[in-house]
Amino acid sequence: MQQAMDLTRYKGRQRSELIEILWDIQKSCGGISKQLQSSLAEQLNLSTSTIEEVVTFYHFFSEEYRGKNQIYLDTSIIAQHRGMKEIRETFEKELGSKIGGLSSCGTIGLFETACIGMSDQSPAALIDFVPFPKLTPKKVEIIVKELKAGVSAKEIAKKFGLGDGANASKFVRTPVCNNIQKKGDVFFTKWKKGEAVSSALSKKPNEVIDMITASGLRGRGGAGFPTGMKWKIASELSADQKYIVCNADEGEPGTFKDRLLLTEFAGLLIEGMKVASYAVGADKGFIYLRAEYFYLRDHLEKQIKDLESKGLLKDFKLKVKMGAGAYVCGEESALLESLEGKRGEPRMKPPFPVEVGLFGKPTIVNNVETFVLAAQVMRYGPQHLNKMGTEKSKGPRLLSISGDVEKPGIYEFPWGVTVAEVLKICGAKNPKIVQVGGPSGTCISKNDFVRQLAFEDLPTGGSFMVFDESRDLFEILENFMQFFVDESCGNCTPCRAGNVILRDLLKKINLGKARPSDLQKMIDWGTLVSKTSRCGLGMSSPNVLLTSFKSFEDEFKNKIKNSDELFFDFDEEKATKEYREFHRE
Amino acid sequence: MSKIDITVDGVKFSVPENINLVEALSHQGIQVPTLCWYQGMDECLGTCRVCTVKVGGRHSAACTMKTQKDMTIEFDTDELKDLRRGVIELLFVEGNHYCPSCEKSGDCLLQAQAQDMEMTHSRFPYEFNNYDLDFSGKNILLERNRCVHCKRCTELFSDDEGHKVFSFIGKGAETRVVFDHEREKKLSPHKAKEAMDLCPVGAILVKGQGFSKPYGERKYEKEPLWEKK
Ligand SMILES: Cc1cc2nc3c(=O)[nH]c(=O)nc-3n(C[C@H](O)[C@H](O)[C@H](O)COP(=O)(O)O)c2cc1C
Ligand code: SF4
Ligand code: SF4
Ligand code: FES
Repeated sequence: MQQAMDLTRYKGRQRSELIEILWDIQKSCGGISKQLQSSLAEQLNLSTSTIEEVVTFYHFFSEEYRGKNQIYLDTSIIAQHRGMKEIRETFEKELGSKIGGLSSCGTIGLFETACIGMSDQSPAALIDFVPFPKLTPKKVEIIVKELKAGVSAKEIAKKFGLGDGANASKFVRTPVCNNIQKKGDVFFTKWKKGEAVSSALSKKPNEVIDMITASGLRGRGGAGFPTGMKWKIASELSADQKYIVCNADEGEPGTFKDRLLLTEFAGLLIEGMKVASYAVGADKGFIYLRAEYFYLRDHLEKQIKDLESKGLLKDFKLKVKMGAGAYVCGEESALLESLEGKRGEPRMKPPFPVEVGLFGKPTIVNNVETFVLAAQVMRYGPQHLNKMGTEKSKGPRLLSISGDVEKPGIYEFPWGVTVAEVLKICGAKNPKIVQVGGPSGTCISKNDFVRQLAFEDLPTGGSFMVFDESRDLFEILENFMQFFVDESCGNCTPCRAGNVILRDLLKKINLGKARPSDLQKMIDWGTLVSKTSRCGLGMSSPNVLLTSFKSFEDEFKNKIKNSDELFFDFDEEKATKEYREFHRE
Repeated sequence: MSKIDITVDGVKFSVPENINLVEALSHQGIQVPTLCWYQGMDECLGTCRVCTVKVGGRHSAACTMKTQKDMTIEFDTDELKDLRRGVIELLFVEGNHYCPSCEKSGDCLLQAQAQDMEMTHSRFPYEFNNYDLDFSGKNILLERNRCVHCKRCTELFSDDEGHKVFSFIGKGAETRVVFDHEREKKLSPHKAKEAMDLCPVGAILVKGQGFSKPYGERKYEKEPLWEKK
């Protein structure tokens, strides 16, 4: 049963704190009932619908009771390939419930969620936001037994042991492995606390920006916007307040490199943010951390405190703020909406966040890796990055490699490395499909393994998924399309309505019920969604279909080979020709 | 206001700087179809994407753009006409629009745009989604089958005391419009009518007034969109 809670403690709190407050309630009450919503509305002097709008937007908030313990299984394709079905069935059997429901004892909820940043140690689940990697049916039985006996998820995780020991900091004693497989010499240098900050402070702000520009650093979140240019624009705007925001939403399925940076390089990240704040004249900052990484929050906060106590964050107030489960909140303007305590719907651009950002003020939004690299540029100079890479993509790229490879994990490569080289080093056997850049990226076949990872060829925000000859292309594609249907914010027509139609068309093709003309429809409709959508999510969701069709045309054609040839295609244009002519007169 | 030159489909026009692109083009006799945007709106919503054009070679929603020096716009091309009609068709299959029995028929902007674009059918399969109606209001009937999720009601409408009445719940394809029942009860007849008129389609209806204006005398029947061209 949903717990009651005294909400008077929230009286007078700001709207921008709404998501934090909702987290409190969700965690202590197991859900945020309509009744709780209206009493909270009273305390915050907001209308109930304002609260309802937010509660119903995020995956991890619920109006109904989700149990004292809440289990979220990773639905990513990688997890499916690693036996998630059996894990799910074991959970269902042990709990006596189905996905989306409560255990027979009424206290443990079982749910699914998109990629939780654990594709290198799949199948994985979050239980009360404690990560449980590498699940087996045996482990599941133990987990359920212990949960039923009242043991906390944290305690159970401890019994299973810690990660690979590289979780050096004593604050991140999690069961997660870092899985660092290939160290390069750009990221993996020894951190000397304060070096990046003092290097920056010894220069003028514009000199700092010039160094970043000279390094050729481009954003690592996906779009690759030149970081120096972004900082320069922000520095030249005059405003009473500017903000620095770190995008730690890491939602693209198959990406988990920020998870590593947030544990092993948190200090450098924070220094990088301080450097940015100095360069553009901002005195406040936020790390927007995805809810799936709750287990990293204490660590980040302690690192911030530590650097503060060393006097390294003077004139810079930095806070960690949590997301609540929404891939679209990785889109920078949706992220800002979420930071303001609202539904994570992307804003219209222009204006860009760098001009009109958080609370309407100039805001730098950068990926975790971007800030870490900025700090490294401060320590070692621009050539530390621009000595490697291609003409338009300088420096290294951290890859999160998962799927059918011998050594899934984190790799540092210089930009420009070919897919074939990467496949060799990570031990891919009989690779058939490589998905570069996650579902919103590019699906390639053997023919393209000679291509380079680079903004000018195959860009990637870090996700690199490998599928071998035994995998079914269409199962993968359906998983990706379902992801976009689930994650569309619903704001604009093409993405909200179009992705549903594209998913259904793909299903039809996979079932062998499509006709030859359906393949052309898939291309045309995908192009329509991509060209008319409002934000990057809808613009790139059809890539799944468009690029896989290019790479595996024969497989698509095989799917329609046996479709009924007697079926003729109704020619709508022809049938309505007379009407049109009449209409025009 | 200073004037600047922009190019539309290869023709130069001199227009005021930094004004809404749809509005600027409309003064030049070029009517960009819109659904969420209407003339006189201060802020645009950018939700429907019916106004898609190309600006500087990039597909963009015209209502979200401001006129700038040397802007190059493509508008009347086969590709763009097809994209815009495609977006309208998406709305017809996502919702359930039975125009002949709709209270808003003839006053509905979706219907008017579809007619203007000579849409005879939708290229997409109909989804026949299930939408709940909300009859429980005192003044207003919410017919969600027809909602195009334009956000006019959630962003632009407020009651006499300045409070928001409509909002969205859920996300993605599950997004639904709802109203605050307490505030709805207190709406003046005048305000309720305002909400109905604000909604471009027949999703917000004032109870008992759906047919107060007879068919045949309605806005787009008397003045179809193509007559403006
Ligand atoms: C749907 C969507 C999801 C995104 N998710 C992320 C993310 O999880 N992390 C990230 O850094 N950038 C993400 N981005 C890119 C951001 O919008 C933005 O470009 C980035 O944070 C800018 O930082 P950068 O220049 O350092 O890359 C996403 C973009 C879109 C359209
Ligand atoms: S493309 Fe449109 S519906 Fe999709 S996430 Fe972006 S704004 Fe929302
Ligand atoms: S109810 Fe009407 S005004 Fe409101 S979002 Fe739906 S279509 Fe738009
Ligand atoms: S009219 Fe421009 S997006 Fe709706």
